[in-house]
Amino acid sequence: MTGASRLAVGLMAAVALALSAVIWIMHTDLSRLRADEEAAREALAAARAVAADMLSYDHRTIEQDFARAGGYTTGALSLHYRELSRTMAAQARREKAVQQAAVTGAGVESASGRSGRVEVLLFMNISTVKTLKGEEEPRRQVSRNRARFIMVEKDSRWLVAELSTLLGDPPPP
Amino acid sequence: MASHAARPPGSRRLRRARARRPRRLAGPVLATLIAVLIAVAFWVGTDLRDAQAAADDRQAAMRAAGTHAVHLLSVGHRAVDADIGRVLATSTGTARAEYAESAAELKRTTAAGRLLRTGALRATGLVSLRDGTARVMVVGDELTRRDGGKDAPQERFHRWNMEVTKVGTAWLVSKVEPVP
Repeated sequence: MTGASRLAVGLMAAVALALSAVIWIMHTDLSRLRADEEAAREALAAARAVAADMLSYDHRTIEQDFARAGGYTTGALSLHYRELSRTMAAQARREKAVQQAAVTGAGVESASGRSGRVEVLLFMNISTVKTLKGEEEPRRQVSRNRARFIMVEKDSRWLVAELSTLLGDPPPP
Repeated sequence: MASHAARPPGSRRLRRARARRPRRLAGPVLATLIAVLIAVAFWVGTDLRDAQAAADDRQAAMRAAGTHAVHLLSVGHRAVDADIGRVLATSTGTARAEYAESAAELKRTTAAGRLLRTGALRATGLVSLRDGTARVMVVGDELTRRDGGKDAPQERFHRWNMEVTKVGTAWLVSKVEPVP
């Protein structure tokens, strides 16, 4: 092998290495983008499926309702639901409260497949029927809400880690 | 030495030729490898370009819907023409036509009441994106007060479903549906 052909082989090897590196970088980027898309799709479906259950209860079955809702949550929100079950049950029975939530829309605010975290925006209509103290007829109230569910992936399941009602400070005048 | 002398004369040449064969093959093998790598790079690169373009489109559509929502909620008597102009500039199709139709009345009531409206975007969520059209949910709040008035400002909450369409390189809001 002559010096020139050795140089050519060396150059070709360098080009092959450089191409491999470029492919690896592009593939990593592509995997990240696809993971984000898949996370968004899965978390959106999960949020849609559990949102109504999480915000609905009936005074006759309130402990089971909150226990079921708590099963869709993780972290601090799970503790919050356990607390809710303790604190709200007596009042809900007293007022014969029944709350029904319905999801009217859901969309993805942001998604990260790598960190397994997706923010989902939900439009919900919540109907509450309760009989207040001293009143005989039940009162019905319908509220049109906006909510943000922060979904996290845990053991291949998408669970609700945070829930907020998106009622921030008013815009500055 | 005796053993060397005992070997057949072509044996050394044969060994040298066998040793040179991998070196001679290195060039064609590397050339083939480079050709395969170029093909794979092209294939992965095309997929990456498409995926990145889709991600960019999702972000751009949500940004356009959010910007339009803030413009819709921020119309004041001090610069009413410019405020209305901003709404028209970020919309197209039905949304633009409907807003243009109601603009004169909005201008009149805003000026007559010396109203100052300030909008704030709370959230945007992408529902779908297909063939250059996105459906976006938008949440915004509005604070309305009378310029120089002493009444407490009024706060209103809004929910919309917006359709956002790619026009050339820009994303513009083509349909606005308030969600009651």
